[in-house]
Amino acid sequence: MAWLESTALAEWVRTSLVGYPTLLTAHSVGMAIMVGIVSVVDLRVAGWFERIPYTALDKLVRVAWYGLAANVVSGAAIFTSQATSYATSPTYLLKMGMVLGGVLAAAYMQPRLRREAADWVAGACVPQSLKLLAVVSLLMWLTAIVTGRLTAYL
Amino acid sequence: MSILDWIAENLGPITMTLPWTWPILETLHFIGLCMLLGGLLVIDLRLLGYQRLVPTAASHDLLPIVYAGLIINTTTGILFFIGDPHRYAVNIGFQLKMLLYVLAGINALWYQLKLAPRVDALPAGSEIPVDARIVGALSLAMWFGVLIFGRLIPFIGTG
Repeated sequence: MAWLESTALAEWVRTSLVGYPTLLTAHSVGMAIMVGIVSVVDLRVAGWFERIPYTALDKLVRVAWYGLAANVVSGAAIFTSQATSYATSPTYLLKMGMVLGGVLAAAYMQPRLRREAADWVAGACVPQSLKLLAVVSLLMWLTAIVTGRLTAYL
Repeated sequence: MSILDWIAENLGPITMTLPWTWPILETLHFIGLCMLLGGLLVIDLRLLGYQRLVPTAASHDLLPIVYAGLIINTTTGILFFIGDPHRYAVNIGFQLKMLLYVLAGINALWYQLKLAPRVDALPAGSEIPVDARIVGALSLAMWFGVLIFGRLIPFIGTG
């Protein structure tokens, strides 16, 4: 961690006038895209918004990945600036656990959506386990937002 | 006493008395923005010609989520403002954010009243008319602008 904090990147994030604001802004845009879209997908899988076809969902997840990409990059850069502090913060570690969980859930759901959505549109039932995963995913992203915001305070 | 002084003195304590109010409001503000932008991304991307598998009428089913996010953020936003009105009033980031908020609202009203009925009536898979595409593009640009300037408030301008 100390090594990360000593890198030129970390120094730039800490001292540059534009660095931190730009990274934070990119991070909030990425969050809106990732969590915003995955929330809609999760709600649909769980059974809401019945007029949105299941077959549309795997392509929506594709858009969400752009948000995640922005946040992995901006998040990594922000992390280096205070690596030790973040790495020892329980709130931050919980956030990262939730993000990881949400990402794994989305990565699992996307191929299943691609393969099975046409069956569901034709009338087959969405498996209960998948609906449950969608709800858990939603809760994990919600927790990620809460713990992300509270990292600065706790 | 100016109006800002009055607000700070009489309404400010609502937000500022308890130390945990502010972080809770911020957290709600972040959740609200994900609801607002998440719903709008699906609706507006469809208008722009992407995500054609989503019928435009079906995408409008997401509007209650968009409005709920807007209400949450307007409410928490007002509570932020009354907590520290002098700081926000002079901040260029906040001013630009509010300008975009109003313009985005007008754009949304225009869409709801004039364009949505026409777009909804189109058969599935249709090309979206140019005016609806422009409204969709403006919607995304302006609401993301609201997000960006909001995030920059602590960093730009005075206060």
